[in-house]
Amino acid sequence: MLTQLMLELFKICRSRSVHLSFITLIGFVGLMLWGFYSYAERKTGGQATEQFKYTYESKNYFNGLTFALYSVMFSFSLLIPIFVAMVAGAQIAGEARTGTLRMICVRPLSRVSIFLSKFLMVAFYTYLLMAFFIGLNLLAGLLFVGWGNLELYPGPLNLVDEPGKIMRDEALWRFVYASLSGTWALLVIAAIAMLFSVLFETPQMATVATIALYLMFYIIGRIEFFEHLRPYFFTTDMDFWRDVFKPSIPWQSFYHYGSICGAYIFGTLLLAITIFSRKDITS
Amino acid sequence: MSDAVLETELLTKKYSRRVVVNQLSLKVERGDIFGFLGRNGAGKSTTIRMALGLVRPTSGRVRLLGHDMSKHPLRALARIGAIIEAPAFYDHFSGWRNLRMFAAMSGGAKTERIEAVLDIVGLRDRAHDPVRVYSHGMRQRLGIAQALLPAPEFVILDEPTDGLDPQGIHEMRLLIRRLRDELGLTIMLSSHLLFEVEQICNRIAIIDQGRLIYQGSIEELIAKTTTIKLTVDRIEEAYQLLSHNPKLSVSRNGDQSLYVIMADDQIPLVNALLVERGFRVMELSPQRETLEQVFLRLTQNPATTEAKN
Repeated sequence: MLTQLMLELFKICRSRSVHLSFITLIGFVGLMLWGFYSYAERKTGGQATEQFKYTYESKNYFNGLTFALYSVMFSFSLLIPIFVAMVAGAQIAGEARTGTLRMICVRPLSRVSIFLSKFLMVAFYTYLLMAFFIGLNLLAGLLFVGWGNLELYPGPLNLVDEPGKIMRDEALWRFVYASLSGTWALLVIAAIAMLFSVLFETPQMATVATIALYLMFYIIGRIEFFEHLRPYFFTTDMDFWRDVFKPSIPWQSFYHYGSICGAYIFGTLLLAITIFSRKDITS
Repeated sequence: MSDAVLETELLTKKYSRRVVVNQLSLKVERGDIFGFLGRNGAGKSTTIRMALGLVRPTSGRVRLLGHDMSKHPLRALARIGAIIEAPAFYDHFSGWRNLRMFAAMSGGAKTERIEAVLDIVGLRDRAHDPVRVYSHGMRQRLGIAQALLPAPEFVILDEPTDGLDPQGIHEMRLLIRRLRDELGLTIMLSSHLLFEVEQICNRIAIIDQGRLIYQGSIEELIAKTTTIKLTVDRIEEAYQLLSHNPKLSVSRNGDQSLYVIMADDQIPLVNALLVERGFRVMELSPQRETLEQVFLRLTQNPATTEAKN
């Protein structure tokens, strides 16, 4: 199993979609910075640099942690799931399409271990992606905006109902928690993509099906008209990861929804493994 | 105790209502160079995939190196090498890296072993080039190299010459002969190149529409029936006369000759019949069929087929 994990790590490190995901996230952070600066420039009549300098010195209202929070929150729902679906969706279907799956499956390896080693590597990639993205945002926030306490305001993030604050050191820990809880939430998507990767013969199909399913529930779940349906959507449960950025973490609800995500992950994986173990490799 | 390295018992595969392999019972003995023949879509690749555990049989059993593939597939797979259709690799990695990876999946291989199999297939000089720049023939040879990595007892080669040019086919034939002569491997070879199979294999199986229509030695198959070249006057009348005999299979080749497949004891009777009816028999000579001719005859005319186990 360890050898297989190393092989999967080697493959994932050389994967173009993995490189693309990291490059895109770097570009996204650059765009976010540009967006924040141009917004501030417009609002302050060309005094943005001074404003940020003030922020840096006073370390309040808006700072690098706030920037990182907004950047992570916005990208988490719509950008990172695409990369996770892309990499996970290619794991079985991609090897089936290129023919390497049949080469692997005639080796003395059980299909369960083949599948699990791939999923564990996808999980590792997902964590790396989250950790890298959060770290990059914090670094960009430190370098270009400056650190302070994490100020929370009611607004587009839909995180708090009234203004709140998390002290700087505690906030940094919250970002660490977010890298873990965010990874756990994203593993729901990874598991679904792995299931589709077993069911479909091309990685494109598996990726598109996963993203379509995710976006369908995500969008419907955000339409007020369908509010009563929201509790039944896995996308709603996935939102538990955001709780780490509330001034006081609601641990009970955090564990509850985290467990539901766990049930989604293990249930989907179990189904995928069962199908994969019985699947005819005809590619 | 049987020394079969591969044994299938009434192996059947159905996709919905379509029967791809139909109650196939094959036996590859240790030391065989076993040719597995059939037209496209006859069920060869599906049979090989079932033998290797890639495809689940609808019914029947596979025993590979003594292990029941439905119960202990990994024990058998650890001792075999295989290429199924076109060998596939990670194109952005070198041939060497690919071999390292496939070796690791089989429990690992020392550098010397990788060098040895690269020497066998003649790829040592190009081992560090990315596979994406390999020619089709080089990829096929790398496929055989990966099949040889775990020092297998039994090698299954499914269409190893598929898509190769004449030079590549020639090289592949020499390579397979080396595997037989120098490494003493048991080999199952699925191929469309009947001349190659006739040259290399000692036993064959022919399947058509998923059914076994012959299994045994090539010599036996070719000697089983005699094709007589018959040159007579009034050839059309002779054709009409003989083709009504259910014991004969008559075909025409050009205007002057008939080719009649019959048992040896029928030859004098046919001659007597023709003379009695006033035909002038100018030539009546036995023709040795090639494997290709027998194969075409068996697979084009199912009424003449027979199974032999």
